[in-house]
Amino acid sequence: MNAPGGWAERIGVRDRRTIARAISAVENETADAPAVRAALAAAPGHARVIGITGPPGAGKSTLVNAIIREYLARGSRVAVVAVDPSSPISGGAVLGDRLRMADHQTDERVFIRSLASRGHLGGLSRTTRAVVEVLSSARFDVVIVETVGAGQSEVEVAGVADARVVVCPPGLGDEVQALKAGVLEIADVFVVNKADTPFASRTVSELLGMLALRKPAAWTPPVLCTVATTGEGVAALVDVLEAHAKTVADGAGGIWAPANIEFRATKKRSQIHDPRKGFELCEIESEVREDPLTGETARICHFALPARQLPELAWLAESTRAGCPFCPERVEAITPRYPDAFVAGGRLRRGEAVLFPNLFPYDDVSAIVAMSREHFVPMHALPPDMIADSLKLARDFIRDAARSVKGREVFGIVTWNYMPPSGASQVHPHMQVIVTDTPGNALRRELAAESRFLERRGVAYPRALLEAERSAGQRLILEEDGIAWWAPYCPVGMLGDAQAVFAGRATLGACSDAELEAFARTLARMAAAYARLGQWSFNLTLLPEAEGGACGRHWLTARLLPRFYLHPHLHNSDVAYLQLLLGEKFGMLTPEAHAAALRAQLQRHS
Amino acid sequence: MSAGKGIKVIVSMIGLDGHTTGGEVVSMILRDAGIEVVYLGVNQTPEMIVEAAIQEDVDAIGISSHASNYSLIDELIALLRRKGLQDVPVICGGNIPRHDIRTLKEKGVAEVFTPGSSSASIVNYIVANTGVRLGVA
Amino acid sequence: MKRETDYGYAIKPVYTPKDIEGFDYHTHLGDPGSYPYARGYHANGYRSRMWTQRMTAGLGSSSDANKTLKKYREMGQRGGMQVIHDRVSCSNIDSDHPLGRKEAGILGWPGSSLLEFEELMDGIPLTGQSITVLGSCAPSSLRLAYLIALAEKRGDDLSQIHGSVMESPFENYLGQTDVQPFDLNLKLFLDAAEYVIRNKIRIRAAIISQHFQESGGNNAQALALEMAMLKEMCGLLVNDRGLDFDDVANLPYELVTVGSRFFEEIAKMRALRRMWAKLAREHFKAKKEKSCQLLIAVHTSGRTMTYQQPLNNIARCAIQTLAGAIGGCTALDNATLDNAHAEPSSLAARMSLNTQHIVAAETGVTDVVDPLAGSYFVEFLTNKVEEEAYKILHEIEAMGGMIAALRKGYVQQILKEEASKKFREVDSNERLVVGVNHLVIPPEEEFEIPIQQVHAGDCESIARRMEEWKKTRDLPSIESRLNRLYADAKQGDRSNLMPSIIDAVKVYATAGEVMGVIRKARGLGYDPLNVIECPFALQ
Repeated sequence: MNAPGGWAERIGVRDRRTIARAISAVENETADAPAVRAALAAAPGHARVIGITGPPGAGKSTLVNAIIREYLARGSRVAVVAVDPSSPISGGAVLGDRLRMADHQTDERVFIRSLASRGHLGGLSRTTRAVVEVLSSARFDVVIVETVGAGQSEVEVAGVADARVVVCPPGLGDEVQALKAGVLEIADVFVVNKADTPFASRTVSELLGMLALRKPAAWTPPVLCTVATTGEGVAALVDVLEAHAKTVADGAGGIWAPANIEFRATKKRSQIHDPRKGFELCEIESEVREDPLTGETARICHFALPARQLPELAWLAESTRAGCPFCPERVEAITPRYPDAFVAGGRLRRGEAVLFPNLFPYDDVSAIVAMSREHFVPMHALPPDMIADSLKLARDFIRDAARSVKGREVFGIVTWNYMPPSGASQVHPHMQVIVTDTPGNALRRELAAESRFLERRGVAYPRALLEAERSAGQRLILEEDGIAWWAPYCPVGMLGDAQAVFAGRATLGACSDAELEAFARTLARMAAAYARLGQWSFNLTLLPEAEGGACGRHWLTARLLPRFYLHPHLHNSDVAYLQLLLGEKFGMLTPEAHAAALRAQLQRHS
Repeated sequence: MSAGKGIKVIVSMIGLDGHTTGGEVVSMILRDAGIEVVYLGVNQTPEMIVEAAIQEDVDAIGISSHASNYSLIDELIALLRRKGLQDVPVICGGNIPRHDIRTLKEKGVAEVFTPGSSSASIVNYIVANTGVRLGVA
Repeated sequence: MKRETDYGYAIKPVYTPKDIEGFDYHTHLGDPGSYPYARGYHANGYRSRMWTQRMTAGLGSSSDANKTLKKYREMGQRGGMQVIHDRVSCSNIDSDHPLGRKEAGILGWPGSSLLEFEELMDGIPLTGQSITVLGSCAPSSLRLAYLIALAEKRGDDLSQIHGSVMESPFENYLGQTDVQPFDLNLKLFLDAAEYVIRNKIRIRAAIISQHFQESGGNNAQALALEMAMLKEMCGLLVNDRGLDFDDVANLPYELVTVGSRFFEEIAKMRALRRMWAKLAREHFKAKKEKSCQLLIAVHTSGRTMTYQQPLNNIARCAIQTLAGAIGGCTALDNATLDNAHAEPSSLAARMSLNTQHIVAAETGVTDVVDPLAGSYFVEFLTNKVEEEAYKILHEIEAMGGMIAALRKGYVQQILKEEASKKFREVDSNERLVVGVNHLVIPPEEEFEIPIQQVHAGDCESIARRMEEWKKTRDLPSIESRLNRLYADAKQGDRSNLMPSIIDAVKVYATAGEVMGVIRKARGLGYDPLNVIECPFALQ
């Protein structure tokens, strides 16, 4: 059954074995997958996709069971994709959601498929989308996607659905706050299940209170009550979902509209008689890309990727060791101290990290964090603990120092220039921490653009961008524990930058220790991947919202730019005028290509 | 540790047998070997198990058997044949007397695991007797 | 090889007085018959009252089971009888149900109607021995109704009848899943319990930790769960049903599993008595001494009866029976050597009963109450398992009690973990089981034991008989009484349904019909398996 026609025909008549096999093909990327995809493209179907998520114990599966019954009663054919987590250790999984849908197991109007989340790299939403497309092509009217509600998967999968239902168990109370920020904000409908228990009304109030703080939009998520075991409230839920479908169809704009992010580029062609090809007439292509947020452009041209090898850096480490001011033997004597009123004891410590004032400050509050006791730490083996401790120290320092900075908005900006080509004056790993009310043009422009985006579209730009990048897939590099890295569509640096966001966190101060540790782990892996591609230097900046800013326009963003000297004897490239005078950034390789290279490095070494 | 990667199986009770612990323990063993287990639980009729096998496109069906009632397993195998799933092996586990093992195998059960079977033996059998899905992932 | 109790305490090679420093005989043990009853309830122990020796019966049709019971009587089972339901009637489904008929009479007695009970008890007196019918919570109210109806028919004095037919509703979660919903099981259990208490009927309710342990739970967990279940049940009867604790305390008895770890099992039973006594006096403020005495029935562990080399199981059963006797119980039924293969053959049944008789008559163990008291090791173990049990009990109480812990999935979780752990221990040879992972012999050398066979035809004939018989009943009376039951059941949880259940059962309404009608009144489908509809017209 390799020909698309065969698949299309049998999916169309709803041959269940074929549907199941088509799902397996796209789930496992087997040899049949292309033929299946061709069949789906030929006959896409119009299923309405309902996402159902929520914490464990909310009774999601039982609710789905009742929802199926309701839709069947209304004459629809219903499919369910039930996602359960894979064991991170063995890769296996116990998929138990069918248990609670036993009533419908043999009904030919119902199709239930269990899916294991199978790890990272944003693959889950791609796979789920493909499975949904198979079921839609098989002419199921409704496809319910049920996710496990623990971890990042539910936010990932949310983008696949037309309507998102978040199910809360009663007595949620404090745990409403603990629900990952991502989950609460994506909901189109809230359902408090087990509503026949005493704490249900309290949970309803908590949710309503939280919703009252949100900006009004075309669709306000209602809070419904159900008792899934008896079916109470389920008809009303389905009515609401139907109403939602109509609202979105009328163009009122859902909260989630990934298509709103446009990735625009203009191809440029230069025609010349090329001496390298016997003066044949040739076309040399380049591209000008637009940043989706600011509209500013960047060029991608020259496409020179010299074969790179990681240089031998031992000589550099040794030659700089003797006079290094950050090494433990000297740091107390050589580095400055803060006044005790500002920082008790003059310096701050955490783990191996030490924070002290910058002798050559950039602003009122300008500190340095010497990150390690080791003088040289190679880029392929950056210890996550070292990174995490330094970030935690910076975070806590910013929180305290921000009080002393006058000014309407205060920003705590952390930068890590690793190794000399990135502008680091010292080999010894160290971060710069600036607490300022003048964050620089780029950040100011970006935040202003994000405010406008939020106003117009009703959703935070970083969230919309992340979802769009997940959909597109080609620039995604790594997703783990709430941190997502991708190559920005419109590059900032020449050599292939990477960007990460902390989902739902506006500043470092909003990040927990665990979140910083997770970021540190991903950063270490990213740096190692870059190193294996021959990089040995980078700039990393964490760009925050203003301290205390909670209007929801911005997520803490990390930008990583690899750096190297174009020629060992030159300290600048002659493209500097492009950047300085025109304010025009310049990239030498496409973000998609370098994302793929990094992904490959990561997979090989995971 | 992940000998079972790429393999998907059903673990289920059959009929009114309510003892779930054996099935739950085996499910976790298979999961720890990298297998994806669709756990159906109790009160499953042969029809329900076969439907699940079709929809989930599984490589094998494991039945946790506590009772000495085999007429339901007969039905299951007959139904699998009727629906064209004779290539999906049925494996039984539980308190099954030796002469009944012979009878079950004659009826079409692929293998029987009695109490005290090691986890390795169960996993190895499944890995050896199910074709791993061809895939790139 | 692991030298640990199953709850993880590492056992030392030697125990000395230091291990029970601070031990005070009167506070911590008491004489047999004195608070806190760690040593037992009777000063003369088994001399005044031997434990009830019994075997579980139930295979094939009711008349088959009846023959088995009579056979057991000949084998020396005089003090009491014990019958277990088949899987079908465990769920209050009738033998002729389309899905039930395939399993009728397998693994138990097809007890879906009064007719079946009459046949079961044909020629067997209801008085003069304890009557125990078990197998899942759902039929508790039905079983009580059968007993009361038959007693009335025979003209027996209800106050002369004793035994146990009720079972706590927690098994839905403890390794044996019920089809009927927990809330309904709980409500009917409380109804039946309230009925016997108010009417001073000497029928008890089993609060069972056996399934939990047979599914893998450890001793400390078992004790904690027993206390949590007892506390919850007694609390509900006192607070929700307005009964007096000293009356309620006569209702429950504990059914415990006894395994092969000899001293640990004895310690468990002693700790159980002490923990209940404390719970009764300190929490429930018991006014009578009797309320502080929890009856303990022992079931030797079926889980330990190996599939390989079944004759070894005779030795295991003997060790366990000895432990049960020394531990001190009011009744004991032992698993049989062929437990891993089928329902007990006559040979196996006789072996098990004889084991009890040998322990009782030949070992001298019954001459002395709590003979191991004062052993440094046994007293230490008793204290230790109790201490560990309280830790778990406090967790459960912090969650709001047994029912809350079940709804949260806590109990199910610990059972799953413990079952996995036990499996791994055997899988990795940390725990040795002779014939299974230690001194294994090839299958050809196995000794073939006689196995009790069930043929599919047997199920079908039981099903067909019920189907035919149903038509011959006084259907108008049944319909009218079921309507009465339906109306009562619609009144919600506070209306005790026992009287209307008994009335319906007396005219031979079946378990499926009675339960189905109650389910309908509560907004559920008549049939929990969604196959059949109610055959009667309900207003």
